[in-house]
Amino acid sequence: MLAAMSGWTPDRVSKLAPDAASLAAGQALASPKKWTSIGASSDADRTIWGLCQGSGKQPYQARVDLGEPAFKCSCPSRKFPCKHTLALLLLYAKDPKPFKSQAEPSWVSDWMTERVGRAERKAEKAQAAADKPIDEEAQAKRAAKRDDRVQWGARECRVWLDDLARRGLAAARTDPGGDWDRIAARMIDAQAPGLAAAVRRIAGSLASGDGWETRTLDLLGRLHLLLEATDKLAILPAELAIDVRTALGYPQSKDDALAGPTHQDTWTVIGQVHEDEDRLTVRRTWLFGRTTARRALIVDFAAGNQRLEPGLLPGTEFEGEVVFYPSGSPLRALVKNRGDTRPISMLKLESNGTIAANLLAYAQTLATNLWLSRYPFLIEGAKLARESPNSAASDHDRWYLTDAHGSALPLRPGFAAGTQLWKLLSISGGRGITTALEWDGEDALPIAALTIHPTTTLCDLAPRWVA
Amino acid sequence: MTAPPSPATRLKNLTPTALLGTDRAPLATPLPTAAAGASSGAPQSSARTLLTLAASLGPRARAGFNAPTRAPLATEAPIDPRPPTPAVAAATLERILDAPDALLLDEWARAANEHNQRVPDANIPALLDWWSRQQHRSPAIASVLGERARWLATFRPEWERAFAANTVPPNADELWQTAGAAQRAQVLQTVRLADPARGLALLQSTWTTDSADDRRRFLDAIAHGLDPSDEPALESMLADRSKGVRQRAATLLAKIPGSAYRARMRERLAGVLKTEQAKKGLLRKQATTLSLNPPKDLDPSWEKDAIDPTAPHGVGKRAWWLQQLAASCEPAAWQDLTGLDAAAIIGALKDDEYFEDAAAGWFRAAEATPDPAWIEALTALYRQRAKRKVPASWMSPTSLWPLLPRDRHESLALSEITDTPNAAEALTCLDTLLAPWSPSFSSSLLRALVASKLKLTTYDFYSGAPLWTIAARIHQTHAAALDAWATSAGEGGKQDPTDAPTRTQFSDRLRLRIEMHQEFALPTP
Repeated sequence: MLAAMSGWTPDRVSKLAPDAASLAAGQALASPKKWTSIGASSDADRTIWGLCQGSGKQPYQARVDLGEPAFKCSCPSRKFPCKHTLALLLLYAKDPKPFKSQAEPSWVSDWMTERVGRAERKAEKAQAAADKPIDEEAQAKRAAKRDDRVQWGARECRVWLDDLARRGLAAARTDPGGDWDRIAARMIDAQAPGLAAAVRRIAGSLASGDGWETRTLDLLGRLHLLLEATDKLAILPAELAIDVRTALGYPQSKDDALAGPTHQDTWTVIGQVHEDEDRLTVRRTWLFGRTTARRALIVDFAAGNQRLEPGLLPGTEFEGEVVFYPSGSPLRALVKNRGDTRPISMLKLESNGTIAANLLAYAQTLATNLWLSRYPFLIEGAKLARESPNSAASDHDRWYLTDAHGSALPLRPGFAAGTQLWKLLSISGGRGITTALEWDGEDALPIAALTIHPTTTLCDLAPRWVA
Repeated sequence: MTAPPSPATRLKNLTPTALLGTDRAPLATPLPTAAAGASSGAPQSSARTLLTLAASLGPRARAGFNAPTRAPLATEAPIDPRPPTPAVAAATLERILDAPDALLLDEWARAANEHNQRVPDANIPALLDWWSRQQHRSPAIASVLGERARWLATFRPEWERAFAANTVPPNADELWQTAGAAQRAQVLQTVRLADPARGLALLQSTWTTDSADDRRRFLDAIAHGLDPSDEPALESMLADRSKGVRQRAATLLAKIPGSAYRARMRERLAGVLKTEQAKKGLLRKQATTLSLNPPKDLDPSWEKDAIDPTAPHGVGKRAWWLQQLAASCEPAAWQDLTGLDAAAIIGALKDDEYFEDAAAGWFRAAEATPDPAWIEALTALYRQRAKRKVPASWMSPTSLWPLLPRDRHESLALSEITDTPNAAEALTCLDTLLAPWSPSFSSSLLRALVASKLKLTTYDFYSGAPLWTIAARIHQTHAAALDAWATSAGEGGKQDPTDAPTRTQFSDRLRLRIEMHQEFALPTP
């Protein structure tokens, strides 16, 4: 079947939808009846296109570049990809036969040419920028100015943190929230968004349920450590200084990443988590290299109403080159070159998919980057375990993920309380199943699980649309 | 020597200080200078000491996380040998569950069952959760969910209860003594289904202390599985203090074949129904003439059998008693007494003074003791009288049709629509014809719709309108033709600008159903 060859399944397409409403609208339009003309490029798997009659006079011209994938439609929707392009691709994924191979109409080929041209212009511009003599003096001046501001912000934060430790968490908890927002805003002014995030995390932790006292104290310690390190930034070893600057919220330079060594491998997209962080949507995509067993984290941001470009899809794999941002323990990465994406074929773990081995890898990574907030685990043959409440303190079951040796990781209470736990339980059927999760040193958030019967399929466990 | 406390324990031990603040709870132990870091020289404040300790213990606690040991779940889900539905069908299921529609979900499940496919594992929890919260739980969905769902339910009481709703709870006797009335009725019903005698015993065990309302409710709960062994108890309930209870007991007794109650009623009927053989007409043909002669005064024994002596306003006493008598006799008694079939009895009595009252009883009797011949004959009678005026005491026969075999129900519904001048109104009779509709009925119905020359307006496309019922239930092989007809029939009618969205929903519903059925046949990649 062609659809299987091209690797597009309705499931895969549905993950590209910007939100649930767009997906529903796309599904409603994914019927040959709704389209007056559909076609596919004679160059197989390059483009598909179609005309869809909307409320306007002219039918909308929807086109999809199957390679990237990339989308373009003449409709006025601000959603991206819009329902028309989604519907077109869904239709193709369901059954590619009605898409007769033919020459691309001009409105498709022009778009493709334009896109290639744009990519070239972008490269040229980058080249030009690289060729342009850099005003090193001005750059240094700007950098020094930012350093000053950050140092000034860190000192203000230091006073606030000391004061918090003196007054006590119990008092802080009963305070109205105003002070947190104020100090976080001051840190943004100081161009230290990392400090602002740390302050907000402390505020959030005060109401985080069972064990909040220890959790919050740990966060105070982390912030304290960051402030101490900021104070000594000038004398820290280079790699440590980079991680401190990253933790403070200095932007990481793509050029620095691209300048580093490239890692060629078959990369599997083992999971994706969307999170809303103060008017910012953050998308974390975890990659796992088949031959090197390297883990890589791709982070994408979208501010406000901006949209996240559809990117890597969980459950797919690609041959490609990945480069890492400099760090004591490189984890955040960029995809430098990506070959064709295909559905996951297999996932071979390093010899040891045990909890102990994963915890060790985490500890080693943490030792080189004390501000590491989460780390991906891949547990082989993981089974769920349940602990019924035995005290009056909590009336909820506590859920764990265990490995073949009986070691157990507690699952994040939010995960266990939601529908995703039941999904994991259902696909595993109580049997061992390879599970990918995010570990933060305290509890585990499963993000995907791999079933091998009847086919190798990655089941996405992270909620797709988080509030 | 005991092991020193772990970093995690030491961090936890610091929380009382962190909670109170170092102003109120200063740290007693000064920090060794090595751990204090580079800010040597100046003495550390207590707050700084707390923060430095937290900073050093936190990462060590995280790095040194000591994974506990836990026993994995003791059971594994049984293997379901059926293949899962194709991914497209599962995606459709998810889409329906976004705005759950019971009829569509039931249809999805039936189609999957026909293809001998099961719900993919990842989709089980959402469907199971919806299904478990329904009052009427579709058996088709339970079947397509399969054994894995039953296994999953063992981890969640509210799901387990849904599966257990039709099985007798182990503590049924205790629940019967202690639970509220609604739950007791449910317990009684499940016990009665599993073991009728135990159900009756349960009912009798608290009979003298239950309130009249409860007694009535519980009698309804034992309506299934009636047999002669229930008779003595029900007979004694004819002497109950409450009129409602007496009437319920009589209704149940009337359903027991060969009951003494039935015999008493038949005897009363024999006293009222006069049969004469006479030669009639020009050909002097031998014919049976029937007449009705209800008693002038009510015998006290009638009242003991729950015949209500007091007629409602506007109804004669004798007519009222006859109505109740006819309703309490099984229809077959009339045949036995006269040697005539249903249609002939109706024909022979139609000019009788009390005919309308007897008929009012027949409708109810045909409902209590389903009898296809009587239901068809009563339908014919009702249709005939519908041309003039139907007596208010008569029931609409459409509510009796579900008691007929499906093909008869379909054929009566079809004739209702084809034989009427007002097809639009006749379409409401389809309400009681539940899905799935047979392909032959669906195609006949379509032909009837085309022939009816109906002009559709906006209102016909609203959900809840008969047309919507047809769209939801018509066999999927005729869904496209229905859409085509609705489009052409709509164009003849008045064009309304607000028409478009409802029309679109109507077409979308039909299209979803057509595609849904195709999706199960797609090969799984």
